[in-house]
Amino acid sequence: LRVGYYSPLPPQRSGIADYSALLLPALRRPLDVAVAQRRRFSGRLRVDVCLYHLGNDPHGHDWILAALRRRPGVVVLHEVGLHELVAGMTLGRGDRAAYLDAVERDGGREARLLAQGTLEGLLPPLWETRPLDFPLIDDVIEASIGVIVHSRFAEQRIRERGYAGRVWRIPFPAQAVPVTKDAPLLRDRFPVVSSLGALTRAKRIPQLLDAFALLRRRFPGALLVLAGSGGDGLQLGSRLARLNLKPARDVMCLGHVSESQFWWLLARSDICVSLRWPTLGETSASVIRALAVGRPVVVSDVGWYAELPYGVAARVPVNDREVELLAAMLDLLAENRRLRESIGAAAARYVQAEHDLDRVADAYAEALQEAVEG
Amino acid sequence: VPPLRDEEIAAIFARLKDEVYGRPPSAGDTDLPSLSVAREEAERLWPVSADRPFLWAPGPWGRMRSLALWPVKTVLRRLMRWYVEPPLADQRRFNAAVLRLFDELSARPGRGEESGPTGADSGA
Repeated sequence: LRVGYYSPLPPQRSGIADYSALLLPALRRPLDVAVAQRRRFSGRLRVDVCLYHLGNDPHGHDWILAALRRRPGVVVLHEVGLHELVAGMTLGRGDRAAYLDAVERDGGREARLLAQGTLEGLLPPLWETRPLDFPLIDDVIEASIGVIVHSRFAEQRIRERGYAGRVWRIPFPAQAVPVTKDAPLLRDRFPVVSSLGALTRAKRIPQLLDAFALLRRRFPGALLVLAGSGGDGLQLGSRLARLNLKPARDVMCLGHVSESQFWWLLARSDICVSLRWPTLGETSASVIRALAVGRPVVVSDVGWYAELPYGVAARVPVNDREVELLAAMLDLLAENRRLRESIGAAAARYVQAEHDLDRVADAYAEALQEAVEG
Repeated sequence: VPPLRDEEIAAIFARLKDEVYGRPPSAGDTDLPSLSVAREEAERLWPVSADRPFLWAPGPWGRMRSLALWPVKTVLRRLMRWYVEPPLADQRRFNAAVLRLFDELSARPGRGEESGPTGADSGA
């Protein structure tokens, strides 16, 4: 089976580019894969079926959405809301009318009025506050001959949109854990709490900082490590000052880190935290990595994260007691080594069983074969 | 020491959750975020600053234009910082104080118990 593969790829920095870099070599075992490039016209690819990876980055996915509109194929929806992508492809190019039309097609007249309010500056952007109320995915799934998702949450959302076509749920693949060198750095600090991956607004860094400030009252040697690009808009300096936390001493903000540094930081972390709200049903590569390394992970009790078994990850509901419960969980994990080690061991076993790369590639091959056979 | 089983781990976290949810909301000493959209937005936006991330329009042309303007914008920002930052710093302090006040008022004990017939003060 010859497959046309449409996805952002490294050196572009995105979760989906990293995903494809991991998946492609494994996918080439059961399939003949032709990788499409931004400038190449999709009609030139002589393939049996096209596989389109879609996410919300307009810089990385606008050409893929355009290719899907020219030739239907199987869509991998990494997020079940594409509002930000559509906004980037319309508002980002100065086309307000196209954006308002897209929102109205999705949510009717009321949605159009809300979007109008956003454009007038009266309401916060809908893609930030209500991305799942107005996901703008109907055009995409209707143009597809089948949809691949990574979670039950995403599958359910697509069914709720009235999609009657094929949906395959294929787990996110886990990367083999590299051997990391030991280094004396951070060895005198305990507990080392880390939040690794892109520092987006949805990662709830302000809430994590509040909880960490509470943890430091009981563990003055605690250190929080934030690593990942995109923290510019969070104004971390002001937030740390408000909580009497000192940059570098209490909280290390590292920005984007290399692959080897990422794995080293994971290995050195005592507890990993990955909060999320709002969620678009995305799967977190950094959480999968932390689980694979055998770190205890605390996640938000929403979307894909809520599908992690209790023995594998601690889950914090997103509500007005979030900070208190998160602080209590960090406290409990810091003081109970047996609990940390038990969760870490269960997490590593879980990733081996559920997220094996070769099994994921085989699942892709089966799904694509089914899509071709109709 | 044998590792804890999954059910034991789940039970530990369930007990912790019950314990935290059983406490009255902690007032003042933490900045409890509320789930209301307005509170979330305020939490996100209170640290106002002139140092905003550089954005660019989609496509290679937008990226090229952004790269060309990037040095100019960077220099201009640095030159204007002495003038722009002081009032913004005051604004940040004010915003943070308002949020603290909001949270303290939200968490004030007795709020919501005043009107009920079995309220804490009814038998006094």
